[in-house]
Amino acid sequence: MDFDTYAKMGGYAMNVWGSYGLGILGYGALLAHALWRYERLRRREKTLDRQ
Amino acid sequence: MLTKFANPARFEKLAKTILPVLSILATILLSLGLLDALLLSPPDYQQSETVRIMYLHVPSAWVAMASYAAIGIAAMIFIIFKHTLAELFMRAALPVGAMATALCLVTGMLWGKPMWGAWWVWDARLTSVLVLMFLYVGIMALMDAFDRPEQGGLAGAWLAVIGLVNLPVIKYSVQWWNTLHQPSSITSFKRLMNPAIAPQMIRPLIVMAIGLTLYAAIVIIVRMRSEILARKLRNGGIR
Repeated sequence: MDFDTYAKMGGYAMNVWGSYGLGILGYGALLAHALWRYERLRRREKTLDRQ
Repeated sequence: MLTKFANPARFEKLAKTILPVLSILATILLSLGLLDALLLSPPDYQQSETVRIMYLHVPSAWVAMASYAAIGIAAMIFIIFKHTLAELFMRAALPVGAMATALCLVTGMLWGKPMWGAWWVWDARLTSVLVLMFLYVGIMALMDAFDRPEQGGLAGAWLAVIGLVNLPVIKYSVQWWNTLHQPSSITSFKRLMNPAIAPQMIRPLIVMAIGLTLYAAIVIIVRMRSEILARKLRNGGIR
């Protein structure tokens, strides 16, 4: 199967790629936010410790 | 034993040890699962390529329900024993469950449109999952509506316990009512060993489900560490 045929997903590209795109975006954003918040709080803790 | 594991300092130590292991396992499983789901598994003879949505939709639904069950148990522990870690777990797990529920609903709509000819139908399964979404959002809003986190935690815990009644409704909705949503293909471990779907399809489904469960555990642990740190900075220590 060539790439074009595969990418079209039998005519359901919007549904299949849309689902996985939203899934990666949603779950990825949640993880990124969790890590960002933790790092931000840890930096603040270190700053307060130094003071 | 409960008190031993409900100690924030001990939790922090445990989290430091298990997070790298969980992260490696989740990365491997989700990479393999995505490869299998999008490339190696065959299209369905009736649903064609749209069946690939199942490998994200079903694990998201499982994570959404498992997260709520865990939140319900944590809520009961918080109401009875007033363990701060149980409340922190609730606060950390709520957005994870809400995201899984939202993605379950959205991927279900993207799957439903080509298969049923409608983005949405008010059948028992879809409606009960929508109620689960409202419960997640409602509990989060209620917990943040109080000045004192403990009061918010208690109010949210009561709502979470009351909302537990929705879990069996979701699970058995396809049996109790005549729904457009199909009945479960995997209803028990015994059925998992002899499933109604092809082995090439069950493989990515299970791998993605375990991978997403590990992902949820990672996010919950990181969010709990943040909550512990935030309270420490706010109060000069956790109570």
